[in-house]
Amino acid sequence: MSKQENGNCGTSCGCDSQTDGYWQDVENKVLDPKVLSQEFTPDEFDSFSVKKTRRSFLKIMGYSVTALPLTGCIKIPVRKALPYLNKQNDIIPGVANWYASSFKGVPVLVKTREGRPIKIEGNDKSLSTFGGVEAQTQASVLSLYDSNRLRSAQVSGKDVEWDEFDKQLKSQLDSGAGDVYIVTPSLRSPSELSVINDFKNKFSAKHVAYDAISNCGITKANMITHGEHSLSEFDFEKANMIVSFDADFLGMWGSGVSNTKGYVKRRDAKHELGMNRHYQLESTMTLTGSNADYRFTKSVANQNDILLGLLSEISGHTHSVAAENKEVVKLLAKELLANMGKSIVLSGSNDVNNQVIVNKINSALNNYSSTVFVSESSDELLANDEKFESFVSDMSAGKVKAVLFVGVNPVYDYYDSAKITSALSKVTTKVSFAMSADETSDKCNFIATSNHTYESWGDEMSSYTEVSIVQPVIQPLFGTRMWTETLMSLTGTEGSYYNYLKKFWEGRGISWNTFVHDGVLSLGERKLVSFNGVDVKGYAKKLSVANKGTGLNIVAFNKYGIGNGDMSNNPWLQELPNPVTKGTWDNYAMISPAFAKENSIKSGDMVEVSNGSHSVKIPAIVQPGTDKGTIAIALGYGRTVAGKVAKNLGGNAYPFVKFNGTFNYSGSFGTIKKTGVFKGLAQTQTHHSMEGRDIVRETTFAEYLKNPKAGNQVKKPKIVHIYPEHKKDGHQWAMAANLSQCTGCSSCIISCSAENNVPVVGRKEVAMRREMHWLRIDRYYKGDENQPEVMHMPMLCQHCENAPCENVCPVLATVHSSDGLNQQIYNRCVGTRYCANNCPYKVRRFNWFNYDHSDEVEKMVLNPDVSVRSRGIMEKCSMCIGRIQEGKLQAKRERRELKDGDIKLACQQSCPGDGIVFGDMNDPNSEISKMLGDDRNYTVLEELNVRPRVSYLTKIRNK
Amino acid sequence: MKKLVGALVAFIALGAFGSFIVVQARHIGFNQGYAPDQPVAFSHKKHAGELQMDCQYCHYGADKGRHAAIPPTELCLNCHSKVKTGSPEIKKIQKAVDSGENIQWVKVNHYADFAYFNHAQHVNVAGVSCQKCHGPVQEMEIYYQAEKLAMGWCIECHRNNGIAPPDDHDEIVEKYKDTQEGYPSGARLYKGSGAGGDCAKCHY
Repeated sequence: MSKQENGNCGTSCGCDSQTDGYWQDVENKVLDPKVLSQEFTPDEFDSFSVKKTRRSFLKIMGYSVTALPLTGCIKIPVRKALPYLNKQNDIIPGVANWYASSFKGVPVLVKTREGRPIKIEGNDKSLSTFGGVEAQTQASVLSLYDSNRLRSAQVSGKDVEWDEFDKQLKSQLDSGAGDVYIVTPSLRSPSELSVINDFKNKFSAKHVAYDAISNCGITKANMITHGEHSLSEFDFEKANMIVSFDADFLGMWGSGVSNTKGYVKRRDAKHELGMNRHYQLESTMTLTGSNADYRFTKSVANQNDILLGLLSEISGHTHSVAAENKEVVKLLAKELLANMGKSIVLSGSNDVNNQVIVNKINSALNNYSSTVFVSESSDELLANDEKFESFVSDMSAGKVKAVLFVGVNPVYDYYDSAKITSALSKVTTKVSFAMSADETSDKCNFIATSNHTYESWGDEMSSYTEVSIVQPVIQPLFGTRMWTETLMSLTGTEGSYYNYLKKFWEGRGISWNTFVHDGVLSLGERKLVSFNGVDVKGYAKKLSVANKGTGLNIVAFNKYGIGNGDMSNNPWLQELPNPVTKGTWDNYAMISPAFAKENSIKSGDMVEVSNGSHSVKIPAIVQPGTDKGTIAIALGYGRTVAGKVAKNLGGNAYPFVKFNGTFNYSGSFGTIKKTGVFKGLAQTQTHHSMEGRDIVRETTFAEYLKNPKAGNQVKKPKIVHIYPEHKKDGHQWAMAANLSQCTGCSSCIISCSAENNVPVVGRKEVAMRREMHWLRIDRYYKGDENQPEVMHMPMLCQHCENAPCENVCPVLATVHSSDGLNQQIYNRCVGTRYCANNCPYKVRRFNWFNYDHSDEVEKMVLNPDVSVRSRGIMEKCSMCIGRIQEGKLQAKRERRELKDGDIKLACQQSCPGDGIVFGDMNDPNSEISKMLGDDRNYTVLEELNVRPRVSYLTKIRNK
Repeated sequence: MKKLVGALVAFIALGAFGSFIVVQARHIGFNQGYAPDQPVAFSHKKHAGELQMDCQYCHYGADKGRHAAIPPTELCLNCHSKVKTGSPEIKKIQKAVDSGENIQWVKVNHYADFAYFNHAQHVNVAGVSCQKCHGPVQEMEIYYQAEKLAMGWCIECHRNNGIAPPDDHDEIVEKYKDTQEGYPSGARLYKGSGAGGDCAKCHY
């Protein structure tokens, strides 16, 4: 908001902080007293329309007084206590068991309590993810308990036993003429491929791999330039310089977690190789772009132009670059040439030509086998868009008699849903292996209801060098079956998939027990292939004309958390604020501020985006950093057959995808028009301006090298201390967040919600600013609204030593502990909300309702060690007090003193950026003591003298 | 004057009524002495008293985790597949194991949902005897709730028994630091880790 350039912070605090043009939202960029007064919505505090009169007060009082003695007559409720009938040795009630497993290629440890998985954490033993997890992985445990899951196998809409199902399906597959197809997503598993091959041999079937959000452009390009159908991998830790074209590599593109792990190592200014420098060129603001040192807002066509310009500068191609891109090309080429063999150029495009040029540039820069790797791979594993197209044509031509859809939902996410639906009508036997009813299973006559990952055995390659085990951590909740076992039963393979898998790995000389115990297995060095020197002129020519059209370029993008939509029925993911827009529970048309102004569109206006053949009606969001000629819409919304959370939420952007050899996610051009309806957005951050205070402090790498205190040299405010000091004996907990290493990915938010039973409140309540997340990531913008600089800041209870909330609580429900935490005691709280009112950080959350946990299946996800709060109670970050207590108890039981690192907070554990440190500040050797002693350390709103125990390290940009 | 007396009487009556309610309300929810009938007439007196069986033979979680745990039904048959097999009570257990329809015991000890209590903390770490909280179990024919299991009761014990580290903390650490067996159980020598009076030690 405040646009005060280099002035006093504007408050009476006496500090002279440099504000340097920070702002936070387009509407709030200009100081407007009207907007200021809207910091709270009127709804937030008055939505109960009870008439408060003297008579109604007396009525209620009278009732209360007479009702109270009656409670004395209540008999003790008879509570039953059921023991195990026959207890297994490793289960002790109240003690968690941890099992290694894997979800979507991320090796995890699953915490189970009394046989129920309740929390996902990263597997530290993995050498690709190093214990990091992302939001979808965190939230996967809630999908397990989705009560919309199908309960048994179905034939023609009727529940059947598995024997009957197998018999009927087998007879269908054995009879009739025509092809049998099996469609899967890109496979990560060598043993699953083996099961599929058995099936192929038995029924002379064909296998097609299909990804809703495809990376086929990369695999095809690698086939052209390296002769291998495989995905590129990157070593971000070795790269001095990263140039990314639309690739959201810290988010949903590629292996986000392992990319982030490598990337943030070089965001540490103390790394021996120095900081990396990150350039991002993109048409719409992504999580990755928000972390770039230099970010250029460029349309997809301009990105292609720049890419060709780079090719000319670096490897002697001739291409005349558009005037507006000349400067960028010069700058990038100069820096890339100065970092030969130590840079990464990558592109998120699914266009083969684009990726071939990227490969050529990486090759010319000697990046292969140094920072970029292409390994040998199996052709059949990865998605092939062309093969899928010809499969659809085969179906339309009536050549297919049976098709099996394993883990894919093309009726929803194929760009031409009508085409595939009519094609499917010509197939007699259609089998869906869905977990819950979806658009595709709706069109299938057989549903071989599959297990959730956490009910299945399996293996997944988390990279080309590592494979992780998929281990069941609970018996199947419903009458479902692993899809692999269904295939095995069809092929008549004896035994279970467990035995199959075990034999598969033991046959390769692997110790099975070690594999299952560790969860990961190293496959040794990559079998690298090198660039084959192919002539790229033809591809360059095609690229120079690609992505040009009339009208606005409609870009369908992979939204963080939601992805392709297969997990969209997960309320944790829906309520997770998007790291950039902070929007929840919806997809929206992202437009640039300049375009919005010209067409007078406001955030929240319903707009109709159309490319001529398809249109969606969704709210608009004015997003700084969006290209003026681009509309970006998230994929994964607009599900029509889905669970109650995802159904009819948002608009479907898949029909905007075009096919030109590969699926092109930015191939549509069209128009946007206002519908005249205002829907509003459920954003968790709409105002939250810094109001001129230096909440985020930052500096540049050059400044930092000159003076480590750079950016943090704020004159200490004059402070008068009126309260007695707290004693600081024993453990004194503190936390610090390194703003250089926080990418804003928000994995911590879901981790926190899972650990602490934080309720989901839904769209309407979020719109009223009543979200319950204990931890939020504040996002601030700075500078030009076309190419703003962004900063992310985790904001949670600051555990102030002089906590303002504590002074105002009339019932002592929030008090200070001897180890320095600010505690919220639910059973004391009467809900006056004075504390939230007096909190300068606005991190306290009030339970406006008894949030629903009545769903018998869903409630199994609750952490039994943390109270479920009821209506009328304040809550907030407890610094994972349950984990602190558990860590202390563990040390005591082992008769030792607590060590630094024994206790990890939920947010800290899940952070793929290792940006959060927690520990005992009384221990001089602890990690947190080092962070507190760092020159970059500061606390937010220091001038208030609340003395937060949560501190931050200044953000450093490599400029 | 009459009015004044009337008002005074009314005031005193209301006050007395109020204080009566408050005093009574304090007892709501505490079930000291609660001794419900159980589906199987199990005698702690017999097993823990006369036969001197270790409590943790059945309550296997007491030194390991939060819950002491009710013994798995099959555990009874470790002995009772040979001992007193003809007893109608044992037959109930045999039947439960055979049929898979478990015995539904009636829970006796109950503390509030919003309080966290950990058995291992007390049994394993602090070395508190079971009887300290559960009363003379070895004499109970019918098991009953011996203590109040209320917050005041917890706090009282913690205050009276000095949970803070002992004065010779540093010497004990030095003495046992590198020994095989580690620190002695119940030595309470974990500086700063003792259960103090902080609310969120139990309420979170």
